[in-house]
Amino acid sequence: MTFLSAQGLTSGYGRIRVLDGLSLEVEEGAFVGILGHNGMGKTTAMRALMGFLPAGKGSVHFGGRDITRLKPFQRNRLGLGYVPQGRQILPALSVWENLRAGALAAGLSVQEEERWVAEVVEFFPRLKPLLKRPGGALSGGEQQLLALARCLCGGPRLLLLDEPTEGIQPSIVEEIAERLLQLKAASSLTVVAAEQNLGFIRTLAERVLILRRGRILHRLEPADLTDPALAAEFVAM
Amino acid sequence: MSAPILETRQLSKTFGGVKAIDRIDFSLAPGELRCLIGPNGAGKSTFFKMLTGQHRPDGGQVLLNGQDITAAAAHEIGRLGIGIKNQIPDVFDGLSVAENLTLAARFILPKAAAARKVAEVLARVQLEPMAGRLVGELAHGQRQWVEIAMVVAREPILVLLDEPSAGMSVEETARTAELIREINREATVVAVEHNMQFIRSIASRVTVFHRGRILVEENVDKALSDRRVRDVYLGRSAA
Amino acid sequence: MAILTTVGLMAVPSFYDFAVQYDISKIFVLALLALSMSFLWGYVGILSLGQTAMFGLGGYVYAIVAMNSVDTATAALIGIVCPTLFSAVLGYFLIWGRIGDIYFSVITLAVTLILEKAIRATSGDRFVIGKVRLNGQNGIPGVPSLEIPWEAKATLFIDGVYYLTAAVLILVYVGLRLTLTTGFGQVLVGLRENRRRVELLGYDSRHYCLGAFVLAGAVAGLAGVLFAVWGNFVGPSLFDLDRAAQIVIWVIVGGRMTLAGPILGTALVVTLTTWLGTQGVGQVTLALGAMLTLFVLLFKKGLLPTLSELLSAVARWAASRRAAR
Repeated sequence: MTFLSAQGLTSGYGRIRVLDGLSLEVEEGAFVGILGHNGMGKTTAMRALMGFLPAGKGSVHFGGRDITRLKPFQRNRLGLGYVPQGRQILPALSVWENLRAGALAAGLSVQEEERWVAEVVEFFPRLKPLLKRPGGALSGGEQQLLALARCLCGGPRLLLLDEPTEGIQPSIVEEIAERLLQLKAASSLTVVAAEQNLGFIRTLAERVLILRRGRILHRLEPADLTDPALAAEFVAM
Repeated sequence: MSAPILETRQLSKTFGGVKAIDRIDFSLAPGELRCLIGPNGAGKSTFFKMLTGQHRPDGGQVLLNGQDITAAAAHEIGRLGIGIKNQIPDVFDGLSVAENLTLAARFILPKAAAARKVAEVLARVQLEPMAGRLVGELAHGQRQWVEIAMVVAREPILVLLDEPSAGMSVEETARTAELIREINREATVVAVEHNMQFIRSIASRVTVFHRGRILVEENVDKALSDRRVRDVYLGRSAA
Repeated sequence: MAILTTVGLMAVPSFYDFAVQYDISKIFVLALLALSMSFLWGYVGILSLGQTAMFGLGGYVYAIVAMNSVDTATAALIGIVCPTLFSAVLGYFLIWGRIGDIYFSVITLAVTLILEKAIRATSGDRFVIGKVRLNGQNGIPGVPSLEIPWEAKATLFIDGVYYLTAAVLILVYVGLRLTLTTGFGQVLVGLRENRRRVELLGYDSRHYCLGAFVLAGAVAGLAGVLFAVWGNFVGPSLFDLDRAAQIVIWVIVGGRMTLAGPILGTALVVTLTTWLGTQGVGQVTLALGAMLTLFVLLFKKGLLPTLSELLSAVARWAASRRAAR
């Protein structure tokens, strides 16, 4: 069943239209990778799906509901989680507080919340020794992990990830991939990831969309990415 | 071997009890293109920020061509010719691409010459079609290029690049590598990177940071096949 | 457009009586003050809440010097130089101390309030400079207008003051616009956008911040001199919180990221304030507050940017209609 879909979505910044009729469908439990050059609209697509940019034309549906006009926080409450590019860690709050902030919207009691956040931390052991440090003092890669963990604290049903491996050391990239696979297996989490790292996409994605000039140009199987000719044609355009 | 262009002696920095940089001795020959790798949190960005006056070291020295610049302010270091692209692009979002570069070029050149310089740099980084666009409207990777272009327009002698290929597609990464090799013809370059393929394509020598110290300093192939480097950084996929 | 405005402004005295000219002159003077703030805030990213300090100093220095029988042109010059120097000293300590942005705003505000209190405390015979009694709360009345250099013993009358203030406002506006196009001005804009990058490029941001602060101080001082010339009076209210806060309102209403906006904002708010006063509303301040709230909600960038966006949207729509036909 289609879980998240966009039909003919247009959006952009002021007069500049970046998304030009974006249409996509994501089934529940799927992992979809979005590839494309800089300036082709990956981040804009993420922001429009999350509601940070208003939709010009077209619509967005999530879990059978029309969410085109909903605000970001409303979409979040419905179960859309978003890890933006640039991470947006709350720099003065500790790692622990950042994670608690991620869990706030769930409306749990303090004890439930702490238990739940502790569970998420178990899932990201690398964060454990950092819990008391201010978010702003973490390195770029650590912030990325924190951003992902914080998003999971909100208990999302679908994750929108904008370049989750950017600036991350290879072994942590592997770790993130593993964690996401585990989550998918355990809780049918749906993931849409804009990514440049082909290896990461190949490991995780069931379907790859190529974004160009604000539209989906092509749909590929992850295996196609290993075919140098196809990869050259669609990825290294 | 010629005298180093950049040298640090026992350079140290502590953040809230954590030793981000721990007595680092680092030396760079003129004209070199060096890559700095290491786990997230190893201190690479902190190291760069200390070299450029954005963080003040707790101990040790930084020498540029033998001159002690440890206590120099950011603008003094910029004037001496160290240019840096920070991890998160530091650009002028509210100005156009051309205006960004003009601000950089005007520091060293009079108006007319600066305009020529801007045109030349725009062509080099292939940003010409975007010259009039506001930088804040560009995609993340394009903003990185704007920042690299600004660094280049200042004609630095030493260029520090913190993750220049982050957020770039395969082809863009290749172009960035090409650009860096070109910059290296005129300046010494140090790049922090995580993309192994990229590193292999630009650098011959690699310094590996780990927990604020230098773990390994070797040529690319030796460094990337080093068992310790695999353990702390690369993980299984490198095997 | 600019020329039309200029011609229009210069023609006002031929059509309207002194009362109107008098009111409009005041707007010109206050618009200068607003310019000095918006230049700093909108283009350099420094929010100085204490431009009234330079404004008041300019007024007081002019009054004291002119009333000590020095010729008024010299008095005006000294009236500009003193606040300029004062802003250089104040700016040096604030900027070289590398204090945060919020502290900068708070301290500049504190400075103007301290000056206000100091002036208020100068009643009595002990506080005399030359021939002039400072008069504390009551201020100094009878401040002479500017002498006309080519006519003996004649001073500017209301229409003369009108022309003078209009000309000065236009000159300062053009001057600031030109400044922004120079290398110096570009660096200032760079400071607003990203101070760290400016420094990494090799520019010493402190010199540029100080330069901008002193320039703005000079403009505010000039406004103060003109205010004294216009009203023939200076008092401690030149420095007070009311005025300091009002400038913020003028600038926000007009649009801080432009130079013309604050002029428009000043004209609008000052006119409205006067009008509300004559309508016997009583709660002028409350009405103003409500208006500011409304403006911030409706026109996020201020009146002028919103208007120009609206105009260009209409133009685009018209163009697309024409193209469709």
